[in-house]
Amino acid sequence: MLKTRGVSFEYKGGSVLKFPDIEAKEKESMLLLGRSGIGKTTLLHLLGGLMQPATGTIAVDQQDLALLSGRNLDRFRGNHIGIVFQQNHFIESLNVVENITLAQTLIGLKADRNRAMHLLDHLGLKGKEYKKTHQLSQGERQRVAIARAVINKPGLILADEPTSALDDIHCEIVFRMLEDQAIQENSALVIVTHDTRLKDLVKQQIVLQ
Amino acid sequence: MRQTIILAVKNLFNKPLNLLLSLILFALGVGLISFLLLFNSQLKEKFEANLAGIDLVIGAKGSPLQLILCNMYHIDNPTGNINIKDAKPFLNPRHPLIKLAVPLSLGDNYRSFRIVGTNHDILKLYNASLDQGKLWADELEVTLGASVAEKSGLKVGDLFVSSHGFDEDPDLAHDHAKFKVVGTLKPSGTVVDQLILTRTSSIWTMHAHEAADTAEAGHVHETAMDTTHAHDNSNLDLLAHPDEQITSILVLYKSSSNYQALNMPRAINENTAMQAASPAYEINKLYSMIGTGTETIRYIALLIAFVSMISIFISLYRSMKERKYELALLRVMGSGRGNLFGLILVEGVFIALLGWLLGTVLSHVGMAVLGHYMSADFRYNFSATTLLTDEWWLLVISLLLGGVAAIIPAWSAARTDINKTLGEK
Repeated sequence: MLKTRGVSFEYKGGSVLKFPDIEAKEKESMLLLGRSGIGKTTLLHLLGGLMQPATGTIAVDQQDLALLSGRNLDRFRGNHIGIVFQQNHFIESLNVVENITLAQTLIGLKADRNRAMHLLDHLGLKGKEYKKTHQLSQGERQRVAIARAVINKPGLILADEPTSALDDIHCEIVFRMLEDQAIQENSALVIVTHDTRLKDLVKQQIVLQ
Repeated sequence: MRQTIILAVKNLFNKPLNLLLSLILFALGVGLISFLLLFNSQLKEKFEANLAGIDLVIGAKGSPLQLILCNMYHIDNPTGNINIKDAKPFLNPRHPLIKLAVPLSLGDNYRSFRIVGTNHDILKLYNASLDQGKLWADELEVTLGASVAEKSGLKVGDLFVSSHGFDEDPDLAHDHAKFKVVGTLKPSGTVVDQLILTRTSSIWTMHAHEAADTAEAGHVHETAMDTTHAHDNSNLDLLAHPDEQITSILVLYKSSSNYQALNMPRAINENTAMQAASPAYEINKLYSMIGTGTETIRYIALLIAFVSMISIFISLYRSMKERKYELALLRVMGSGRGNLFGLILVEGVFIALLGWLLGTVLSHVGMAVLGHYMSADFRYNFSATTLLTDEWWLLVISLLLGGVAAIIPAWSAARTDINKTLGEK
């Protein structure tokens, strides 16, 4: 549920980056590959509505992001886009479940604790619901981040280098987890990475140059 | 909105030591200011209630303020006694300028409650009325003020031995004669509540006996033993004993704007062995003396309040910087800039609210503790439970201070650069 056309971005220095057109449908997974410094993070921020492109359109769930601004864009992002960052940050003062339901209450939805519990259970985090996030291992934190990204059933799940710090076995486990969630929630999954191990797991690939 | 408040409160309690530091400072500032407000208002209230319209106090020469404090507020010791023969004109019921003259004789106490020899006119002065039993009539009969009755546990019909002077001292007990409680007064909110009232000659009897004891001589005090005279305890009765002494006379003029009345104090001070002091004048002098002290404390309190505001600012700014990822994350999850601004603002205002609450509780507890000691030393019951209008104003000002301290951190939070913050690995 992501569609881009002729997107480019202009850095402050004046250098311009052009990105290929991307289209990802629901339940589909896609890799955006490229070496370091090629603008992967920039593209992720553009797709997530965290930046505005210089040219082109980005549509998520049929909504052109450029037509939204300020508060509306923030709300739309909270509702329709789930992002899993390479470094997973949480609200330190809240426990695991509260961190997940916060994604709902921040955009004015009612906190659905049952769904949060169900997701945690599904991701193998039963028993960790009331822990503070800093008490969890790196792998557990990543799974909490995934739960948080999908709690609102977003049309688009963006993941930034979700596997680069993991060994081969966990690399596949985490990818399957993301893929599984995307299928369950009818989302499109877009992974931005330089991790070539994922090439064997995902058919759709776009290489940034 | 509700979500923002919950999150702000959870954030604050997540760093309890930071919160505590800001709270203590803020509560100290608020507590001091609120305590000053309480103290000043109650002191003024009590001083004014006890002015009781008294125009003049006549007593022995000495400090006029001491004369007022001793005879109207029963705080200080007497300046001395005056002879009835000197005070004759002022005790005369037909004096053209004086509406009411209430004689006071001090010198004894029971458990630090002053025993005052006087007549029933004192009740008119302070609007006091009888609660149980009857008013004092015969020698050594006493009627208790409401607080005395409550605190001493004495009841109508009880006997007690007084002690010489103004502090409880068993060595100075007048154990040769006992006072008898014949009645108690209703609370009047004035100093009368703290007094034990008896007739003037009771005091004479107590001290005449003492004089006889110590003088060894068989000289029996003439007046005290004068049983043939009809003691009606009126001023005329006092006039019949010109050689006796009293401590002071509380005077109410017929008209306080009368030209002659205005000249009376000067005439007394210049022409007699006594002095006359004006309560209103002396109390205003006292206010201005206390005022300098409270003014200084007020500036210190304002300084503390200002420092505590800076402490809130620094604490919020630091925690905001520490939480920049969290803030960026909140934006990613759908919070607007306004929400982040509100989040930090609520944190500042919440510290102020808690600080005000803590400070107010502290000042009222302080007032209760002080009141406990003051009621013994100053003969006032201080109330620790009333919340003044000024204290509500203090709340408004506190919340504003908290808000102002939070504005810069809140503004920085609202301007969090998501891309830069999240781009940092």
